[in-house]
Amino acid sequence: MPPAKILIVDDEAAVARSMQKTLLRAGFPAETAQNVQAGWQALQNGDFALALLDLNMPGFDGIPAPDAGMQLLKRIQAERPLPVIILSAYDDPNLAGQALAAGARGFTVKGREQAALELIQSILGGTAQ
Amino acid sequence: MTPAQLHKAERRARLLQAASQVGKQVTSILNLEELLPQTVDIICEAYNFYYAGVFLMDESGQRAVLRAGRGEAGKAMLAAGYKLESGSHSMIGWAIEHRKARIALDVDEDAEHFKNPYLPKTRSEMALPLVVGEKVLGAVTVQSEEERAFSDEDILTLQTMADQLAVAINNAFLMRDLEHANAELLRAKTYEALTAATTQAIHWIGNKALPMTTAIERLRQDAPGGKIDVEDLNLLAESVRLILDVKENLLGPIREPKMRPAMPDDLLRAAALQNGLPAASLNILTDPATPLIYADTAQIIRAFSSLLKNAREARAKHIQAKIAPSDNDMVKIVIEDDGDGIANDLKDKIWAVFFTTRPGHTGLGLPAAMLVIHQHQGSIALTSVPRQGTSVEIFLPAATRPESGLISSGKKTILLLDDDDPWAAFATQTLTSAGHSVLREAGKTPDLVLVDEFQQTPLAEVLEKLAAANLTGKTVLLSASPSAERMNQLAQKGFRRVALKPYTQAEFHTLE
Repeated sequence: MPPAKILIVDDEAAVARSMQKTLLRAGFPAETAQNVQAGWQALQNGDFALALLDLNMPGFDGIPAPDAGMQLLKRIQAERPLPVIILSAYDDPNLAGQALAAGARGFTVKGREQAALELIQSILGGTAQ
Repeated sequence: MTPAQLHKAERRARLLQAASQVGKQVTSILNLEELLPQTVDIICEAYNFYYAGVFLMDESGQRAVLRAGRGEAGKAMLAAGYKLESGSHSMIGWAIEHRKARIALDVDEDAEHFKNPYLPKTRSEMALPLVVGEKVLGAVTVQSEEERAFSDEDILTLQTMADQLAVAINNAFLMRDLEHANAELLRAKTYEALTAATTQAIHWIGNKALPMTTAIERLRQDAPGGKIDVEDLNLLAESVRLILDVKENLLGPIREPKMRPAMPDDLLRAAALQNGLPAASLNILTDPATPLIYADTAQIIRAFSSLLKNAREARAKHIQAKIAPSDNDMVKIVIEDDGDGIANDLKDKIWAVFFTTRPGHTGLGLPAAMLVIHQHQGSIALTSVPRQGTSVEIFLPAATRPESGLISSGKKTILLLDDDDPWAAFATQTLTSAGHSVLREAGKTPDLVLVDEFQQTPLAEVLEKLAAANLTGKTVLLSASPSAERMNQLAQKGFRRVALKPYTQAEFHTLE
């Protein structure tokens, strides 16, 4: 069985790439997309086991929005359910509450990549297969 | 008419004039520090009184504080912080407490008259309350050296004046309260805006810095194995570059500007060369009557550079700049491009700090350009049509070119290395008129070499040739936008003289 593939959607290319490297090192294949539209497209075409979504990035209309990640989360929940972890630059309990209420499996603060990795491992059941 | 009747008529005319003057001030002066002294002067001059003063209630409402007083006595009392308790044993205290005028035609006979050591000659006194609606603002005192100095007419006109004065004082108080409220609102708004901007800045910088921490962690993990991931190092370098870009864009315009006269077209040309813009893609049309602008050349080049960079990134093939004199001693600079233009829904966002639609950009170029132009007391506006292009209109203050005779006459041979542009023509004319020989290409050994930092020939190539010709020590690099980094680079190659590019005869004088 191939290892679970993960999609990272974040308009901060360096942040996305850094997270991708951490996942690759842990044995998880990972791809990146730089906005909500590209992320949704990637999910249609790829066999992803989990998605990591930034909150503040260009939305479906291409205009930057602070809740763009939530827009994508809602569409995923409605049309193509899979586990989602929300990434945010802010260590904000209110944002975390909103994300979890909307169906996210987890909420993690950017830069705490080890914590994110552990969360992914717990959701997908241990280490990368 | 008898002499007594004539005197009375004249006096009445003077009083009416004084009342009219106070009435005019009521509507025109909202500053109490101006209104009150003028009022006491008008009263004393019109009625030929010994003294007049205005008291206003303090914040507690318990004391009437002297705010204006006529003559030396008034000055002395103001300096002493003269005040009277409301309801105290004084004419003013009584008038305030009872909201009524009180007159002592012979002060020795009035129990409420307070013998003021500053005003020993007072023989009669009148205290008039300053009342607006239910509120007592204070009182006016009028004093004469004569007994029974106040006629019925005086009392009527003075009370009318006092009523008008009370309205004026009340208006001044209302204006002061309004100004305080405005200032408070402005402070609150400024604080809110600063907080929002700071939060955005921290958010942005934090995001850029995040990969550094994890990349460093990975490098640390790899280090014992002897393998270093070059991509991690590149990530670090890119993050640091972006953070430094932000610092430069935010702090650059805040640095203290060095204002001087400068040629706007030359600064635009320098910005184009700094951006690596092909010469054929920028066309500058300058009205010959255009004066110099008054500018910090480095900051204006930075602002122009941002605008040209935007045009390039919008895939403009041609950029045209039109520079011409404008009204009110301003110079108008219009930069038009045929690039992608700006989508209508983004037009009101482009001036916002950190707003960008392009990956890898800071979103600080346009806001920083606007800040620079505003700091120069200028203005900037942008119009754009999607898929047709963008036009930026800038107004900057004109400077006078000081055609002083400061330039000394000399007989040096000066090699001037620059493109054939208007600045080179100005430099040649200025130096020639001072008696120097100007060479535009290497030939006779020069006494001095002037090199424009921004020219079509790459600077490294120019400097290499000068070094080969042993002219390093005679060379002065002229820069409209000098930087410590550039000076350091030049110094490593032996070129130690860098000067601000001169735009006036006086500035050329300092180079000789």
